[in-house]
Amino acid sequence: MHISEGALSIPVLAGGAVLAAPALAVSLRRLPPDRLMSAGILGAAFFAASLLHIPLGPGSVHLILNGLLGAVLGVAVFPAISAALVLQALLLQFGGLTTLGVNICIMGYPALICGYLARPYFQAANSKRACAAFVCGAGGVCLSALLAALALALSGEAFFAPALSILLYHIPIMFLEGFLTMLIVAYLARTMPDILEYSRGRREF
Amino acid sequence: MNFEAASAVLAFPRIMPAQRKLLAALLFSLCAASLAHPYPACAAAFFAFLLLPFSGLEARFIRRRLRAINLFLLPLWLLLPLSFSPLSPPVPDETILPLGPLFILPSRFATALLITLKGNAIAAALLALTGSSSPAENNRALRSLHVPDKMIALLIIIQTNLELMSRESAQVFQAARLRGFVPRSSPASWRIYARLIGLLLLRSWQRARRVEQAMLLRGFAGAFPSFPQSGTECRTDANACSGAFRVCCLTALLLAVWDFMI
Repeated sequence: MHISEGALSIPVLAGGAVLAAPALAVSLRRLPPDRLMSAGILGAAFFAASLLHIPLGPGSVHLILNGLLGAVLGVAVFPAISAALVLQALLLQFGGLTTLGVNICIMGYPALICGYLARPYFQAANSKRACAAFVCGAGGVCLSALLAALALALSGEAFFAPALSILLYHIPIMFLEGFLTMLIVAYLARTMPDILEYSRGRREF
Repeated sequence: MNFEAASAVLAFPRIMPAQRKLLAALLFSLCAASLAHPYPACAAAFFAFLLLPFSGLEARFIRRRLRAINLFLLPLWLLLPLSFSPLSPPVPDETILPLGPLFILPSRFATALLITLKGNAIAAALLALTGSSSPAENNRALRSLHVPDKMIALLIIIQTNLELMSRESAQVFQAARLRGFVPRSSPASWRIYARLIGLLLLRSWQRARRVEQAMLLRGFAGAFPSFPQSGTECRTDANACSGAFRVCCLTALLLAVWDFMI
């Protein structure tokens, strides 16, 4: 979920860049060099998974998976999302260079917040873990949609209808992503709980 | 101007150093994004599309990219003219058409046109400038622009693994289809999707651990060594490229000034 070039006003673009830059700088500084490789590979896997078409109603949708990405990668989620958005802008011309800051905020902050809030419950009992995973997945989409709608609405009165449509469009995706995140976390907790512990740094090599 | 210099000018999106192309693309994007009137936006789109034939990219590739970008812009044409309130039309005495609880403001089609022109201008400029550089050249350009080493390393890792992960994801789903899985919009189908995504993450985690161990053993400390510039950049006609870079930047600035003065 990101906004293309040409739509947003200059103050919104500047605000997005100002909000994204410090978060990116801090998260890059806190990311140990020896974990770059796993952060990059896991990030690539998440982006490959988010390209899948999941049937929903008469059509199909893409998952966003930013909540789960935040829960798994922790602070590394900001650089991973930023790197993916830079690649999309430079190689595919999706998003763009001026909207980079806004798009990083739209995807990164919800991932960081939802991941931070949900992660402690991933080691809890089944019911608590399921609730936390659902909230993490659905919350990531919900917050991202809210931020995208806010960025559009702040760009002018003309964008109120597109902003509202973004919110309405993402309501079913929010529930689908919550449901899928709940099942993915249950699967990972059963088969490879190390992944859910990645951001805490407890690994056995 | 001799033939060699003329051909160097015409081929500048291909032979200009990636760092300059990135800077020109950034300045052009900033100026084009700030445009508020249709005529400068039209001129920006014209200039950007003029660059495309010299980029060395295939016409089919360019068409596919621009089609995808315009598909993203299409919903704006449907949604922008809608308004919740008839009280403040952007143009005085404008005819407002009621549509159920909403209202259609025909003048907003001009806003949709402006956004489409700006979006296409920026996308075409990015395609001609950064799209004609290889990923390695783009990464080297970012490094020369003082982007942190960790960020460059992440870009390289994601770039090299995304293709691999996409292939792995296709394999996992192909195997499920061969076992009789038919994707449907039902909880049972979503359950299988969740397991397959979980499996993809699990495989990527195992791969990440192996690669991380191997890289640590080789002394990886958060940055990949930078290789010297490729032959294309070394052959660059310095004067022609410098002139072309100035033309790009000057055009972007002139468009912004024109828009400001309208």
